[in-house]
Amino acid sequence: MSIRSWTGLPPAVSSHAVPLHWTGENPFDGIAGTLLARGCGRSYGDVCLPCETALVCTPCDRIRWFDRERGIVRTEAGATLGDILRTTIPAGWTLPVLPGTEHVTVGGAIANDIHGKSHHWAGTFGRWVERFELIRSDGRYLCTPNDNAELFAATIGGLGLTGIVAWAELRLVPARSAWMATQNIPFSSLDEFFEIGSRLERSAEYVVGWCDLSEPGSIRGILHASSFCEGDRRTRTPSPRFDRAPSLPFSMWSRPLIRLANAARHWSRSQRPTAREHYTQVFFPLDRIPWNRLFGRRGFYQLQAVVPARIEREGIAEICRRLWHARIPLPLCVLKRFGSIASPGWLSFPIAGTSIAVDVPNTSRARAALGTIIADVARIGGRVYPAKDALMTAEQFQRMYPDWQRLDRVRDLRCCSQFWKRVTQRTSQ
Amino acid sequence: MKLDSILIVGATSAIAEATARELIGTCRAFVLAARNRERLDAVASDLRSRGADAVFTLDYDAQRDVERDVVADAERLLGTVPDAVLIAHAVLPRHEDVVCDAKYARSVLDINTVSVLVLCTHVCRHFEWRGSGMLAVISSVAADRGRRRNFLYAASKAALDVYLDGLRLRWMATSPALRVLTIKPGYVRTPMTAHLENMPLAAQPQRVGRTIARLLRRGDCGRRYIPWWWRLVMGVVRRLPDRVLVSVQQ
Ligand SMILES: Cc1cc2nc3c(=O)[nH]c(=O)nc-3n(C[C@H](O)[C@H](O)[C@H](O)COP(=O)(O)OP(=O)(O)OC[C@H]3O[C@@H](n4cnc5c(N)ncnc54)[C@H](O)[C@@H]3O)c2cc1C
Ligand SMILES: NC(=O)c1ccc[n+]([C@@H]2O[C@H](COP(=O)([O-])OP(=O)(O)OC[C@H]3O[C@@H](n4cnc5c(N)ncnc54)[C@H](OP(=O)(O)O)[C@@H]3O)[C@@H](O)[C@H]2O)c1
Repeated sequence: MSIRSWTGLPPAVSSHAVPLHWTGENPFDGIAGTLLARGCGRSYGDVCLPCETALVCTPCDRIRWFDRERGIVRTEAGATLGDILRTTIPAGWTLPVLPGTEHVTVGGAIANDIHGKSHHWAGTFGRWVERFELIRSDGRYLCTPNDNAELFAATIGGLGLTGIVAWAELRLVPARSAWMATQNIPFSSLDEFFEIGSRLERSAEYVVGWCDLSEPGSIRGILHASSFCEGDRRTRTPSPRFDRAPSLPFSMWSRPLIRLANAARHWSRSQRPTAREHYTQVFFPLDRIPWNRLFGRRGFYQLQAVVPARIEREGIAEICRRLWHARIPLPLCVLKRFGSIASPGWLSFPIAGTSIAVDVPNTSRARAALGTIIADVARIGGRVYPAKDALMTAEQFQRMYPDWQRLDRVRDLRCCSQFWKRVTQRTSQ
Repeated sequence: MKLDSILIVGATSAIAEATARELIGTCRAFVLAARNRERLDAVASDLRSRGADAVFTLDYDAQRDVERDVVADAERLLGTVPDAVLIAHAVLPRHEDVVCDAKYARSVLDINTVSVLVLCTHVCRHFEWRGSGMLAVISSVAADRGRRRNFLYAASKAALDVYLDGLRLRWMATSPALRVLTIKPGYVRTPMTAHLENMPLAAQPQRVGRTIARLLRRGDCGRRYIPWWWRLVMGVVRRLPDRVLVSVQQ
């Protein structure tokens, strides 16, 4: 079976896909060779591509226990975050850390220690994990910050290499309703972004910057700041997964089209300084369309890099300059400030600073530009997000994540991903 | 039709589980019967966490408890005979294992056919006594025509189809409040089919569960293919002459 990442890059691999239906089973018993747990395949690169067998965890999506008084939920690792919200929102609770799509499993969220628009107060997903059960080839481990603490830390941001997460217990935060009050505030320079952004973070729960880089030399965009408000608690049915939607033959993105689309978006949002939106509109706007199929059969790259706080302004400006210089279409660019809350995992991506994420259609020019940006980021002490990477060299990775050898030591030798093969093939020293 | 309570036999089946989730909000009370305690508890707590009001569990092994009146057990738990009964358990034997192993063949028939039809007679008695109720049984498109492989499974399901056809007629003549639904899914990606590499037109259990829940809520009566176009596919397959079908490997 052909197994693909969200972007289609690196190219899909053909391997066995074995479903895991019950968490009581030990998948290592029935499978020969190495395996890699797989959630919804929403990672942008090869962290979700197996070397031999993909163990598809999505059938294990039961919610084991939900404490409506204290706001704690215990779910199997294949449950998607969207599905969990459909249970918790009506009871007045939400997951504190949510990515840009509802189709992400708990296992995937832990393995990449994902972050969201709430980083300034919530940190990463792993900070809200109370405990989980890990299935390794030599047995099952209940991991908490105190019991099997090393496995606990290694598995958060552990890229699926420490074993299979069977279930996890997550802490929730109150949500008044299913509705959110959003402010849309335009900015027209990086300085403005930082200034307005830090002000919004003091009052709003979820803050993110959409950015228009289509005009070389000009950085403008809209800061979206949302908080849960009063309203009803009705949830919505899951958005379609589009897993088998066909790709366009070619990328639809040309620079003039993007300029037009961005102008329209900028204008419409500036017309609406405040809005009341359902939480699905705030968190999962891309889920309504098969976004990844608009980039054609050659696929696309997303680069997400974080620049450390002390040089964030210059660093982000330099990345933008490189992108403009390459004259590549940039249909999506997102800026997000990370707060100073430390990430729990050894290989967690977020550090205090500012993150930029861009989606770029796959062309040789794009590859070259992203390659130089990644090299720059490595040099200045920044990081590239493994969950969204297909281009880092082993050397760059090892420089950004010096703890990688620690993970390699506690990794289950029966777990392997294409990503790990790529970034550990030779050491820098 | 009233659908306050339901008894699901074989509740740990992926299709039954998906159906039950869809019925939260419609059914107030669930009685789940299955043979594996650990799995049964996992399914039950999932339904509870997702907001089901009352969920009860029963141990039921189709081979050991063939004649047990599970409906009466459910009545004891609920205080009333359930409004609907869904029977979902079955095994899909590996073809190679079954052709020359009489003991194994018998166990397949015991689980897929004998236990189900015996259960149906219990349901029949309780429902007729009360004068209302909805019986839904998961059969399969496979029952429509024996093929080169796995014809024992096909036969085990075909018996259900025929029995339920008859029961439907009997109830149609008695009371409109008595309903029989024969559910005929095509290929579904579940533990039962996890070993099959080639599954043409396969559906996800969530989709099948959603359809079954809709049919139950509507109080539908008849043979229903899921997705519906399997009716057309099987219409063709039924009419194919043997000399064509012999070349189909499946
Ligand atoms: C539109 C979109 C928006 C996004 N926005 C964000 C965002 O804002 N912030 C962010 O951080 N990320 C974001 N992402 C990335 C996404 O959150 C991560 O890639 C996430 O890990 C994907 O989860 P998944 O269930 O699809 O897992 P997969 O992509 O299938 O797998 C990811 C990793 O998790 C491991 N894994 C999966 N299940 C288990 C398990 N049961 N046990 C152990 N390991 C397991 C896999 O081995 C693999 O290493 C976004 C992705 C998309 C498509
Ligand atoms: N999957 C398909 O492609 C497909 C197609 C058409 C029809 N169907 C029918 O759909 C129904 C549900 O199957 P499924 O696809 O959801 O597969 P499944 O998840 O494997 O379900 C089969 C269920 O039957 C139970 N079972 C087996 N032997 C039993 C016994 N002796 N006593 C009690 N329970 C027993 C199993 O219990 P344990 O969990 O304890 O093993 C399991 O819960 C079946 O009737 C099947 O024939 C399936």
